[in-house]
Amino acid sequence: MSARLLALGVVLLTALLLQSVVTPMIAIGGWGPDIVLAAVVAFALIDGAETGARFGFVAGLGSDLLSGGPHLVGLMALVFLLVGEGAGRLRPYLSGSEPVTAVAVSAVAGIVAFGLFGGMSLLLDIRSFTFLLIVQGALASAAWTAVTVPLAMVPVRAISRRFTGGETAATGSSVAGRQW
Amino acid sequence: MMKTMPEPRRRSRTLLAVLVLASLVLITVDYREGEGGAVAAIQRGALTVFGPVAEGFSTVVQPIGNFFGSIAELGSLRARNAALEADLREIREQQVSRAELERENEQLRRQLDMRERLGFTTTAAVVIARPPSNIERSVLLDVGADNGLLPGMAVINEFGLVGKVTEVTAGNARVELLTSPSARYGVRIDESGELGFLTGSGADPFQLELLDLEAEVSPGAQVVTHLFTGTSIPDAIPVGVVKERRGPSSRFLEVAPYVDFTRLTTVQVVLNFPSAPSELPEEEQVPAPELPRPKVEDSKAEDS
Repeated sequence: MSARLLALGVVLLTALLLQSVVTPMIAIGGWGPDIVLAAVVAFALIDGAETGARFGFVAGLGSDLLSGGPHLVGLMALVFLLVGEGAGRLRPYLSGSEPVTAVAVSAVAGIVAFGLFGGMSLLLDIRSFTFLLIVQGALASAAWTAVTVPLAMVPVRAISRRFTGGETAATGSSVAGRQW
Repeated sequence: MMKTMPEPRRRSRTLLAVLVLASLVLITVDYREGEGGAVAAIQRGALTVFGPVAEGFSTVVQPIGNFFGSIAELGSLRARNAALEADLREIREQQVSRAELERENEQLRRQLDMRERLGFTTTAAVVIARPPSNIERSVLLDVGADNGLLPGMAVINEFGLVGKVTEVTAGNARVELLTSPSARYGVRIDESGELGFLTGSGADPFQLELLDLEAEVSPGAQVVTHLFTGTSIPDAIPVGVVKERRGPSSRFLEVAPYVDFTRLTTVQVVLNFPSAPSELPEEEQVPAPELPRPKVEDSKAEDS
């Protein structure tokens, strides 16, 4: 269990570093991928809702703590927690489907994540979000998440198989995981 | 009997509720405390720890990131490259046209200086065409009868005599260059006043034949035009400089032209000059001597 936690920690740290260092370099039109979100969705699709929620909360908290400015600590934790939980709950319905379904789920996760974050920021009046900006960000997030989640699922699946402990271990195997 | 939820699902929901609650508490605390609170202090501590790690990571992945970044920017880079190339072309064209304008301006200024010095009334003209053959030594100007041009008028530039107008239309004029083998001008040696006739010789130096059979002229002497009756070529326009003797007789000389006939772009057509033959007293006018024209060599042979 401790080895699994360590592996998840390494994944999270790597995702945070990639998010901080690499993402700005590959942004298109000012919108870059959210590697941390991709890792959350990947864990949720492979290991299930519980792992998705836990990893989402910790990953979101890490993002919160490393974000400066008017960003409220806890906001990203809540968003990633809900997205991880939601994506994980969809996992059983991906059974027997084509990989494109997982891509579609990732895209929806991207929209929901940015929509929730933008919407709550708008409500709390902590950022200069506008409705148009939220729509643009949600669409960009959908595209990037759809691209990055399949890539993130490769190492996440390997870790999940090597260090069992999620719902994969409890239920035997992940059909979605097999798909990828 | 109350239906109970399976243990894993209940645990999952409890966990979800706890995590949601924890998030909301964090948001609330951070919102209320602001920058001076405990959450902000933890945030600063996390950044202090993460900063050096991110810096080290950045050093490692920077080249990779740059590579992917350049791929991501490929479209915009291409567009930017095309825009920069277009700008560069435009700047080069502007530089060329600016240099051309400066050169033309300088040329015209010198021509005006010469006009002022000689006291002529002139009109500026641009050389718009040259004959397609290498044999004919003439140019076409962008001015004509509408600008007051008449056949026989002298054409000068900043260095000296270029030729004379031979054909005129309403908007254009053809100028026979001084280099034309058929061109023949009355000239004099500026220092000594020795009179003679100058003939064009294609690409070769002008041929000068002095009237005085025993005249002695040193190389380097300046040759200028001389006013003869019946011509409209003004007096004292620089033509060239004596180069050397042509043959055993001192009467026959070669004259190097001042004007570069291969680089004619703008010229001045002399419309009027102060001492036209008709305005001179009869006794001061020198009749044009009737001398046989020197044999004109084959211009094709000269060109080659």
